[in-house]
Amino acid sequence: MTTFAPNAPATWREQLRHLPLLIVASLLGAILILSLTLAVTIGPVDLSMLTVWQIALAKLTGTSGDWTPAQENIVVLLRSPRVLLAAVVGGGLAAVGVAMQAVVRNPLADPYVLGISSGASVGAVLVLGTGALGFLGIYAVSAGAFAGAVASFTVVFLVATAGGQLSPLRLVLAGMACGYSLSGLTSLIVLTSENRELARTAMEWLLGSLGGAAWSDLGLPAAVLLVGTLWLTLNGRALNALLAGDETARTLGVDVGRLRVTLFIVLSLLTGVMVAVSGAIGFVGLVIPHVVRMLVGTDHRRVLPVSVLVGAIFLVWVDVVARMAFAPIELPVGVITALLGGPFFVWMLASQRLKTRGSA
Amino acid sequence: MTQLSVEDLTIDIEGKRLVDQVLFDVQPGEFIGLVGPNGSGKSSLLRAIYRVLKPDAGRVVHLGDDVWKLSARDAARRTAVVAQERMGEFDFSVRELVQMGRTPHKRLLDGDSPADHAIVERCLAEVGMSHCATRSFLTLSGGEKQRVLVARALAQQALFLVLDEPTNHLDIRHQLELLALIRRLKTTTLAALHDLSLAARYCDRLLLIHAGRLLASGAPADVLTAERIRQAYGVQATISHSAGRLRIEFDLAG
Repeated sequence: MTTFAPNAPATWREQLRHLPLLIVASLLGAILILSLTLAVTIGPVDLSMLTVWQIALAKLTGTSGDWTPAQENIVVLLRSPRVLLAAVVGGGLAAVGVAMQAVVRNPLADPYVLGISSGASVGAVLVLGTGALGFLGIYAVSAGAFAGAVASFTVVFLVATAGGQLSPLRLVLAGMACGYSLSGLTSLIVLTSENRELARTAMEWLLGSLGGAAWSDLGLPAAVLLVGTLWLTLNGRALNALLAGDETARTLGVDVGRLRVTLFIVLSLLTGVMVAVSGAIGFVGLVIPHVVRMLVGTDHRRVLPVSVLVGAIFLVWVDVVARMAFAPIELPVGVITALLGGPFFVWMLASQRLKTRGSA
Repeated sequence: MTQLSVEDLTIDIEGKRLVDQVLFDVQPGEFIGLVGPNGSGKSSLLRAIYRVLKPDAGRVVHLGDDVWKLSARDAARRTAVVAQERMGEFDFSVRELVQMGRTPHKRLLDGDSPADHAIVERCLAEVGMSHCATRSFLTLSGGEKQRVLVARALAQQALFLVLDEPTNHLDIRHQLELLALIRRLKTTTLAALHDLSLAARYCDRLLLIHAGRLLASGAPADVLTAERIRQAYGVQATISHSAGRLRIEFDLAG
């Protein structure tokens, strides 16, 4: 019997599973705030946590203090938006991973593994390269990424379910094939673009990067993350039922067809918006839900909010590593998530008996 | 006053007729056994009744409403199901799984109330699985899993219970306990059963189907005759009555 949880849970783990959500969330919230602050202090110019908060509060209240304009610029313009974006994207990708795994009933699902992120990348660079959807203003790139995500999600799902059964092996293979083709397409669009700026950022789109984040990048992803996670968590019961099987979900009163279609749209939107600001960052949606399920159980009403927080903390720190590990060279954050996530994926693959039939 | 009417139900799949104009009624409080050989259409018939397999003709009327015209939620509050679907490999605890049974009673913003928790604990106790409440569902034996799924159906507090081969994977003691439990609940129940002797012993009425057609329905002793068993299963049956119980012995037809 394959399991994705330890057979004999240690007692602290049992206890953690029954800890009220509010306590777990508050704890993680505190860790997130601490992580955000620490991440802003870390960089070529050292800052203290106190200075960071003083500058932040001064900015909010419109006062000033005894720090240099350079320090203020570093905190306000350079580091804060990037660190916050890391949190938003990390949380978003983790939420998408959790829900996507329920939709396809497979712990190996993740927007990157299934090629959805690559689809979103194609949509985004297509908009940047051709200037299409110009009437949408600053939302054009996100809209393009959303369209790309919907299209690739649909294709992968149809290919994987051909013959009526959604098999994990087919799903992963369809996702990989789709992901490769779409990455190729992204490269093609980016490298042949008239837009010199776009060509320069080719690597960032393909690997996923938080470099050059600005405050204006934050609004839409943050809003979509908030609304998306709230909607998913409210539908936690239905997601639980879906995980138990389509037929079971129906007999428990879930309108499976409608839920699936809505989930397709919500998950594509979340993926699209995250990819539009950061490119295709891999494996966050794979690693985080798995770890969180091991800690707090399988109930989506707990797993979703906890995953968002853990995903946010995770990506904030991974991005710190990406900035600092080879300083002054900054790596795209996706390089580090791939280095961590690839082996993790292989380990999961090895511990799951890949059945060619059934919903695994 | 009839609780459920199945009216000329017909199901075709890929040109093959799985269920052919089946017609029967279920009265409130009855425990009805659906018997017949493998591939006779038992599961298909049940799936049409619990709204997963859309029939090609005919209707299923529950308390005056065509079940296929109800919302998923309303249907799930009327009918609870223990199907043969296998669970995936996600790791729900036993209690979480039984809690799922409360799904059709909950709106988007509802939390689990103390009443829900009480229902869940009572249903776990009914099937004798209270001691396993915090265990992972995946670590249970086949029989224990089956009992947990029955508890989930009970937690739905529906008016009608549909069970597809509920005694599969159960050892004899748990088979008897489960069927006795259903009797004790007095909830209207339709169950596909494999074991004819057990079906005869616990059910009020039996429906015998063969090749998608209803061959006979009525009291167990009237339905399970040697002639009909030979017709449906192709085996020789010797039937005797002792101490008010039907005993059936089988031999391969000569």
